[in-house]
Amino acid sequence: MRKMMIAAVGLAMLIVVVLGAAVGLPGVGGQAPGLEPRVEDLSAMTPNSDATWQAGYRTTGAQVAAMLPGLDVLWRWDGRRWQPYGTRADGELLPGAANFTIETGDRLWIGSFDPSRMPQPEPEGAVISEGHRRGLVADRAVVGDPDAPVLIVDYGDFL
Amino acid sequence: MIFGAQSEFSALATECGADQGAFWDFHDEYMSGRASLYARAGAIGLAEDLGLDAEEFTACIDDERHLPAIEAAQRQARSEGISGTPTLTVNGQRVASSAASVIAAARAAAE
Repeated sequence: MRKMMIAAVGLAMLIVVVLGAAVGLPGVGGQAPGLEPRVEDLSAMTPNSDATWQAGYRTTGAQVAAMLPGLDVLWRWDGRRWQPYGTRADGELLPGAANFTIETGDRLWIGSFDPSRMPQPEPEGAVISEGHRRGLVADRAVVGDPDAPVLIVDYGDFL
Repeated sequence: MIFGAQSEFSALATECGADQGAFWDFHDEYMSGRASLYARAGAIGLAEDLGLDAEEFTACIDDERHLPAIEAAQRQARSEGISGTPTLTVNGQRVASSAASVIAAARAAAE
């Protein structure tokens, strides 16, 4: 929890696509994007409307979920289908979701929805195969969805 | 987008850690605010604690192997008028760095 709080203060956690330095991505097949992506994509749907918005996370899904009021089921896109990944009660995620890391996937949906109602994303672009962005999709020089309706950029201290 | 000696060193050490698969370990340790990590010995100690190849890690930071990428990020940030971290924008508009502000701005942008 302490780390979560420090991270919340010291480093923004909601990011869809980050534009940064003009360096390549290790492990991306083909040409390297010209911009430096920083974080992975996360999608969330509120339980109160069909409005879709996208956000990102910095380190763990638990951090993101804890920040989103009224959302009670965490779904993870495993590359083929949406999987329930965790739930929370009284504002706290149950074990499982709290252990979410960048290694486990590049998309999350949070909400009490039937996953069949959720859009089924098809990865576009090249999947990063190594490094700390492993498993993320890089397309048109960004990580995540280049056409995301909300573009959140975090300028932080780590590449 | 790295400003200041401590920030620059932490980015350098983290990238050297990343070379050995420990990016998030270094990231999280630096985010924990442990001051000793901003010194060379502290960073090397962390590498050792993580079971990394300390000799390789030390060479990496001493050679400033990843400094060009860090400097490129600095230039990129300055060219966009960024002078400190964290700085956040939502659809190009700067917002306060609190999670609540970012969430509110993201929700507003999505509506």
